[in-house]
Amino acid sequence: MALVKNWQIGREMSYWYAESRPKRQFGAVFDINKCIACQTCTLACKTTWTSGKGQEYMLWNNVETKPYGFYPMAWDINALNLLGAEKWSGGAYEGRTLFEAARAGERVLGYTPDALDYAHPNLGEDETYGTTDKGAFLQGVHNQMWMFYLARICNHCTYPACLASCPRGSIYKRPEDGIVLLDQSRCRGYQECVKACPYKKVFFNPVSGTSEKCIACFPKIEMGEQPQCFTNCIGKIRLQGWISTPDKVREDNPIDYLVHVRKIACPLFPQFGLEPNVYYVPPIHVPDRYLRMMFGPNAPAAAAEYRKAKDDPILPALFRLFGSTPMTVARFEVAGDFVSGFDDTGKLLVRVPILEPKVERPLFDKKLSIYRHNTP
Amino acid sequence: MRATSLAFFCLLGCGSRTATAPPAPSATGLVVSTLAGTPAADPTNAAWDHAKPFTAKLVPQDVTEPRLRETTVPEAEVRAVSDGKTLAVRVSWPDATRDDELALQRFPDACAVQLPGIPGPDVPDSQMGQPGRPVHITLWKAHWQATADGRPHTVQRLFPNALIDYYPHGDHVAAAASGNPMASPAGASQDLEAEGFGSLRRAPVQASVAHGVHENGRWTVVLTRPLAQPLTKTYLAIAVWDGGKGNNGARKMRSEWVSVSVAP
Repeated sequence: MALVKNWQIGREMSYWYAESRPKRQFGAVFDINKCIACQTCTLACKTTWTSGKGQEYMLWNNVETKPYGFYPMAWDINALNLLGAEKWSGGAYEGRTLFEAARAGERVLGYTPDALDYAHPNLGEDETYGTTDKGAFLQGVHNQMWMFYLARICNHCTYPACLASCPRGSIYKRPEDGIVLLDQSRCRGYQECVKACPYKKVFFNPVSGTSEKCIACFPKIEMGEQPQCFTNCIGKIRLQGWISTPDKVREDNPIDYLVHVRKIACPLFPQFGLEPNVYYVPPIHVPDRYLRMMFGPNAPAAAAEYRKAKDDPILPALFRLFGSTPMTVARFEVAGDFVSGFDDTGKLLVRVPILEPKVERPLFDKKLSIYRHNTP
Repeated sequence: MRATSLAFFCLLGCGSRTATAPPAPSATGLVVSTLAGTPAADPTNAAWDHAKPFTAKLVPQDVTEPRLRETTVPEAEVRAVSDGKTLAVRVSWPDATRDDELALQRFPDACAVQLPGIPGPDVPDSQMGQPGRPVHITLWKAHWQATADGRPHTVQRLFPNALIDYYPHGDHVAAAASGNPMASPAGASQDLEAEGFGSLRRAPVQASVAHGVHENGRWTVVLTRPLAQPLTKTYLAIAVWDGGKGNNGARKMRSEWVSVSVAP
């Protein structure tokens, strides 16, 4: 085991291999508040990558309802139960990561789901945390009726548990973009990675006899394009880019800006210790305790920041870039009423108005002799 | 197959050892019986009764993670015969459950015979060899055996109620397309090479055959591999996996090198 720096937990931790960060790291921000669980992302991935034999119940991308939705069943509860109650102190995690908590003879603390745990991907869909009394009504935030949609892909972690667990090095992290891939020519189906990944984003294919996982649509990434689940998102909740470490933050990098500068997007279960690279703008209507558990200690502050975002000079512009281009935005610029996205070479990819032009029409159209409503 | 088995049985059965009691177990190492005919590939062939048994002690793989915590099969019986061109090793061990599926959390029973890459008395590390000093491994798995015996390898068999509409890309499987032998097994065994933990790879030549049967709470498997030259004094090691106990990959029971000598 080596000591590596994990900035998400604010300390060094033990990992199976020495720290070796890629030239740049695949990163993404998902704005949970905009997700409607339409599953277009799920289908975009499914039809692209997992429509083969042995992949029938395999969803590299899924959207589940929290708190009672899971795919596979109870994956997060099981992982949290394995680890037990652990503590943060400010921004530093005082508990054990899944690597540090590994039992004797194991590389990672993990568990393997049952095959039937994958059989009900819509389990708990739209179920709320609690019920409300007859006659009661929704009153602002933090009542018992909260729920939210959690869209999930492989986090292409900086310290992948799947990679650490494979006894024959069949999983590797690409030095050029940090994408974590499972070598289909080398895997021997030991399922150690399925057991180790706490997010349960490595799947076993019983027909091929190998494990398979999200590849971040690397053929698209290599052409400067965002993955399928990003470009097909009709809610425009996702932006893919590159995430830096805190010491190398670039303010004009959209992912860096949201994660590091404004701290409005948080990692999923940072306490596991994997340094996951998909970041979530936390839902604004969910109790702080739940947010802290799922997205770390900064999540309530991030949600509060998001509530104020509409009055911010930059944030509404940056969120406008989500879903505005199929290309990967490496740099953004806000000028006047427009926001622009650029690629690595500085080439303009997209320029969109921060607010759509607003036209107020007269109630009665004299030309057509018809009444019209102005629906805001 | 049957003809060769019978021929082998006849060779031994008609020979000088016919009238004697079964051979006493070897305490010091595996003694390979020599034959004039082809060794019996059928593990139940009575001819195997005439080969000298050796009891190999099995210990859990406890050197590299992931390790095996406990041994569920403390020993296995090993017998071997050779006709000078091939070496047939019969490994037999008790296992009450026949585990012959590979699916999520379901691992097949398996066994392997390991020989030094360079035949002879100078052997590398008994656990998967070492860099520059390879070992040759013949690996048999129960689910390969079931498929070789004609069982269909489909999702519907594993999950009869699975909802499947159609496969737009037909039979395309990424691992098979990339040449992974796990995705398209040929027969019940694989020839492998290794030079240390994590280095297991497909051998350039796939020449071994294996056949296993599960009867009366016991697996008996014959693994037959060609010999580049007649066998001399060397060593072999075996490994056994109890799939029902989650044994898989490095989570296995293995022997130390066993001394191998050839019966005069």
